[in-house]
Amino acid sequence: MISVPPKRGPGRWLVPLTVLLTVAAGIGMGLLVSWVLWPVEYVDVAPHSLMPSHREEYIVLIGMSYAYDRDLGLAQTRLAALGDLTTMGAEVVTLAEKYAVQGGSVKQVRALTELAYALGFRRAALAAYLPDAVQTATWTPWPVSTPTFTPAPTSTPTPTPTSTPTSTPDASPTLLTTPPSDRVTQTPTPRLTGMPTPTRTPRPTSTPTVTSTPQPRFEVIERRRTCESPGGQLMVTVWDAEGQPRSNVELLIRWDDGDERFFTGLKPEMGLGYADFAMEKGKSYELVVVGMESDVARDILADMCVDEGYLSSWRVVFRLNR
Amino acid sequence: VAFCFVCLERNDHEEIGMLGKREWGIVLLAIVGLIGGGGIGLLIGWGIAPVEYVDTDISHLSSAYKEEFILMVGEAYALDGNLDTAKARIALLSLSDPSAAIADLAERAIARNAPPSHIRTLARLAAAMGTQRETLRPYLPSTEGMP
Repeated sequence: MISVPPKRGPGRWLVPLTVLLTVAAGIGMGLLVSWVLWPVEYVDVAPHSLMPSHREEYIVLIGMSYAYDRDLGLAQTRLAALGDLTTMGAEVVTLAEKYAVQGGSVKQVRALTELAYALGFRRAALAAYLPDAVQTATWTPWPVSTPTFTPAPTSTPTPTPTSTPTSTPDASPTLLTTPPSDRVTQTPTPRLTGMPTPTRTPRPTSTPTVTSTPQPRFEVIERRRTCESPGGQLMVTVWDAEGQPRSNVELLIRWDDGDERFFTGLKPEMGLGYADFAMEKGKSYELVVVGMESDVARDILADMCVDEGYLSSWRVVFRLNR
Repeated sequence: VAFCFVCLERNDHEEIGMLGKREWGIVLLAIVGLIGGGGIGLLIGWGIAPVEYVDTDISHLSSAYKEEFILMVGEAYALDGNLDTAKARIALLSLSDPSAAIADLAERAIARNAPPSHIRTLARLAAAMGTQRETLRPYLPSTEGMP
């Protein structure tokens, strides 16, 4: 008997080989095109795609421009190029707080604060940066009352004797050139829904009351590193002036490349004034109470507890000082 | 593709011109593979996961936004008088000749009948950064005008 081996011609591998080679060739051509011939170039982008640091710079400039020309409609149009207007106001006021806490330029903080207030976002901690006419905000200990808008009675003085700001009444986004198409789509009313009308007149003021009395302030009365298990916890307690735990207090924590807000009272078993935050190894944090004057608890470093082998924890206690 | 597989399976040696049916099948398969792969690539690149620009910098802004940025820098400079900060901000645009570019922008603003306050702002910033032009002189304060 002669056994005939199965036919193993070169054609057996031809199909997969062809598929493999053509796919590889396709990938190679694609990469040649996308990496060598026509690599990605970032041109003609809109402000909403800016990196965070440049985005901040852009917002600061919008604020300073508003402080200069008092054209709220134009400021809103510019902000709309950065994102949804309903969230931009919060971003502006957060940035104002950040600059205030970090000791930024007073003019920048003031400009951002004025813009945030004009957009309906206000924080009591920023009231000091408002002009006198607006600084007559009612001080309600907690929570901060909703602002009411009344027309600003007087115009703002011109910053320089020669550069008289004249605002364009139509708040057109086009200043010098044809606007980018996406900016045109950001200006219609749906984006402005719920926001103050883009007429420049509404200015946020509150019912006038005492402003000369010292404002209550949260002070850091304890800031302590511990090596309690499980580690990596920032444990915050907020007390009122009577030393009672205070719930529903908003806290802002910042680190190198981010920030987050959290509230006291969400773990009632730990106390109404208690809140905690999970820290990450090696990061340094600073903590502040939002919505009122507050000390800043700085240099909260999540380093290792060598003996225990886990991250250190921190205890921070804020107490209201009237 | 089905046709190609049939060709390859039959292992025909019938000649069609210079190539046999088998070879033609391979060529056709390669072409179909490339076209299909290209189509998939385009579908992914344009439809499923199109390019999103994130973390770009100010120098990548479109020209209209760059001009608006320059104007805002000018207004900030008019507000705080801090020329160093204004220069640092303008530097973000990576312009080869920033002051000339600002002066050009001011002249274009004149040509387009932009609000005089905008022209004044730009003219003053250009002058502060070292470019003074006769066309912009009317928009400058007397102390900053040309000699």
